[in-house]
Amino acid sequence: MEKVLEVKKISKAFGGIKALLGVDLEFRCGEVHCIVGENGAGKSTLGKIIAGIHTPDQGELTFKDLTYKELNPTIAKELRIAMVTQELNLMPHLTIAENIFMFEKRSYINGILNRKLINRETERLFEQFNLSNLPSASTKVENLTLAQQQIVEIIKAISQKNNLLIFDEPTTTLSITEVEQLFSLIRRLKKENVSIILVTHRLKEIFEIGDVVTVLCDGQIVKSRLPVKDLNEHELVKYMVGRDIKDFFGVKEEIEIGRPVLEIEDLSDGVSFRNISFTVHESEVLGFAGLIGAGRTEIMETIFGIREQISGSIRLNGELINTLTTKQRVRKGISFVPEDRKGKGLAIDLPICSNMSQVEMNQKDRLIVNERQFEMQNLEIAKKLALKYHSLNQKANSLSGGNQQKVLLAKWLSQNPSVYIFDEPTRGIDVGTKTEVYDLIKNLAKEGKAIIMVSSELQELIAICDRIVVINEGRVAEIFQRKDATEPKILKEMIPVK
Amino acid sequence: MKNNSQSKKFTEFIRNNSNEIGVGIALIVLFIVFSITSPYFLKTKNLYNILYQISAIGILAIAQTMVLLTGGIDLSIGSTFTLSGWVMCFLVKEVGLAEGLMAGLAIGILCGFINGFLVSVTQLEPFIVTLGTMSIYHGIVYIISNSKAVSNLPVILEKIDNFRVFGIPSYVLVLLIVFLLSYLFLTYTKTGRMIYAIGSNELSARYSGVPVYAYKIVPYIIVGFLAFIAVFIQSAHLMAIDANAGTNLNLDSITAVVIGGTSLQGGRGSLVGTAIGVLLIGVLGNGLNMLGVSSYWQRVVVGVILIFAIASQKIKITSKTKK
Repeated sequence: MEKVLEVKKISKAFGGIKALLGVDLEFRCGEVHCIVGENGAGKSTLGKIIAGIHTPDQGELTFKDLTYKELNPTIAKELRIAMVTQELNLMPHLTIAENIFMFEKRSYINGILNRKLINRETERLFEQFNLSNLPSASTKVENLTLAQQQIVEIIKAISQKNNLLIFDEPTTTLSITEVEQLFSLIRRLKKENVSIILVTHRLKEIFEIGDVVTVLCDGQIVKSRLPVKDLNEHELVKYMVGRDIKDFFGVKEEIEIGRPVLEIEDLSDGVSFRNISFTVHESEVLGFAGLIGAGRTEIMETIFGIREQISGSIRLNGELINTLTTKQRVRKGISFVPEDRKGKGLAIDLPICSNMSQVEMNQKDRLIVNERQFEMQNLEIAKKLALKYHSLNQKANSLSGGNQQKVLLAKWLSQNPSVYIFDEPTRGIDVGTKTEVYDLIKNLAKEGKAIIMVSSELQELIAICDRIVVINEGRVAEIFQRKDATEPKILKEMIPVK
Repeated sequence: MKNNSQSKKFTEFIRNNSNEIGVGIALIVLFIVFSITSPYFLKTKNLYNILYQISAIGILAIAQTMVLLTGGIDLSIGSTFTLSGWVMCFLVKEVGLAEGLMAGLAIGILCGFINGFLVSVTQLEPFIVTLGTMSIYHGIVYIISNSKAVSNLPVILEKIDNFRVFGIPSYVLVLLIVFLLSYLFLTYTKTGRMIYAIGSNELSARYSGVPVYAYKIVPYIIVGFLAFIAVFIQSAHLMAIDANAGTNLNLDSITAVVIGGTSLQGGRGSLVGTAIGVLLIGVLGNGLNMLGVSSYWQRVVVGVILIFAIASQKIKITSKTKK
């Protein structure tokens, strides 16, 4: 296969932190090149340098036979290199078609945007790629779900007929059907001889779609261009974390399930879900599987009290808590670790300690508080969680994703709740930290806590949970015992019958 | 080892307070320049004059800081100032001191409560709400005053203005007390810490179980209260109030706070920064007066400094988040 791009001795530092250190790598036509590594390994930085978003401090890039010291977005566009970043770059108030074709010269006639043309072109793309689940081309992007927006972003990159396409964790917001769509798109692009770079956390995807895989660690290459077909998951994890993780999920041991703690009966919010009933017991981990938009997060938010319910009952230790405010529910022993760390979870501009003591401070009905009084407790919790930090006064956004997730958990540990609700606790964090999160959940269960875990990774649910509730279009489709749960069975219950 | 951790603490202090330090240095430089270029600048009388000039705007800026920290803004601060002040002065003159003060205080707090209620309960944009109430409150002043000033206030106000403790004039004392209490409020009370938390990320506070709406009203009520305090010390000093007393104070209070490093996005900023910002504007205005620069040119200079201050913060933030 022909070489399309080669990077040589690329280095890049942000402030004092070295993101990349002398990276040499080549990319070939018609090849899916996966890049893996823990958070902060430099994967996204490498992608952004290739796409001209960041400029390298040292090194050079050779595209076919042209050599550059650095690229910028304009040159990258001329060379037909594009990147679908993790942060969506769509303009919410414009239509799908406008988002895709707005920057193309051919969309304009005498400086006036030809809406008819771009709508037609967009519809043609939808047809070409079999995207029947997207609304019409003139729909505004703000009316799309997050997953649909991601697909639009991808279509936009594809429509530009690029030589090289970089996907930075494209599947984190996608549900299973959309991941399938994306992969069939990638397969088509491969046939058209496009070179694809796929940055990902999900090992399964590498084996499904990848040709070669490169492992990065601390800004350096650990293994370069390993052919995927000669590799197994076990070996790959070993390269990634630099140590052997025999059983990476660490299946939860059977411990005796205690009395019921949280009992939900007939819960409805009138919009996202109806007639939800389930019970979580002491020492039990109850998993929630479902497609994105099935209503899982909404159910949890209702139990936590920040979303209105229209009917049904929520009992905690036998006591009805429907009418309580969130603060009162927290006092009774409910806790909620939301998805979307930066949006709902942390005040990333505030110090770690302020984040950690937020819940505690809110629960204490005192006029005067001194954040120092939480210091001992915070240090203890940080130690328990093996949080990596140099000072509790450093801002939360200076931590890696995995460590931010730990701070988010830390907020609740001080309250010693009896129910923990985790919404996608391992999304976007590296393999090493994931194992730590699993251990933490298992230890909480051992202490007798009742645990709810919402996750889109079925393997993880099957390994960690005692029972798995499958939510399908706002209803409980099935509740599996762990011994009966398999991926195909759960999947079958997740997908709506049309 | 100990030295090392101390130097670490020192660099952390510098990093966390770089903005205050930057504006503080600018203030010191200005102070030195004016001391050299104008023989009258350092005279005690002039220094008191500066302190008087910043007393009302300083109190308003402290209040505005709290609103900006929640991610809001209060454009009606000057109108609240005028409305509560005009009613107070009118009643003090016509009815009595106690009645006037009570009415002024009540109106100030009511104005603030209305803003806070609309912002937090109905979740309207603070900019729009207070743009509306700015017009409403000021309109009411025109209606009840018929655009007339209240002057020849009772002598008791002059006595209050001339009151001194250890030689410190009452208006400086009030400013200092307001600053100190506000600082303690923001640093050590639960509400104060929640104001920072909500401004930094409102959603994360909600997902920690914090009743966000209850806390978001508080800073607006404080604005109403402090606007009353500010207008009281100013009218006691001038022995009069006119229907446009607070017109410039809306934006001037925001200017001082922003120069002091408080972010319009909320969550970031401090009262120490605001104090330095207020002093900077006060010293600048006074010094330029001493040098005979026209007040028209002074407005231009303040505008330039504001943009310069914001630009330097922006550069700092982008260089931090570039990753």
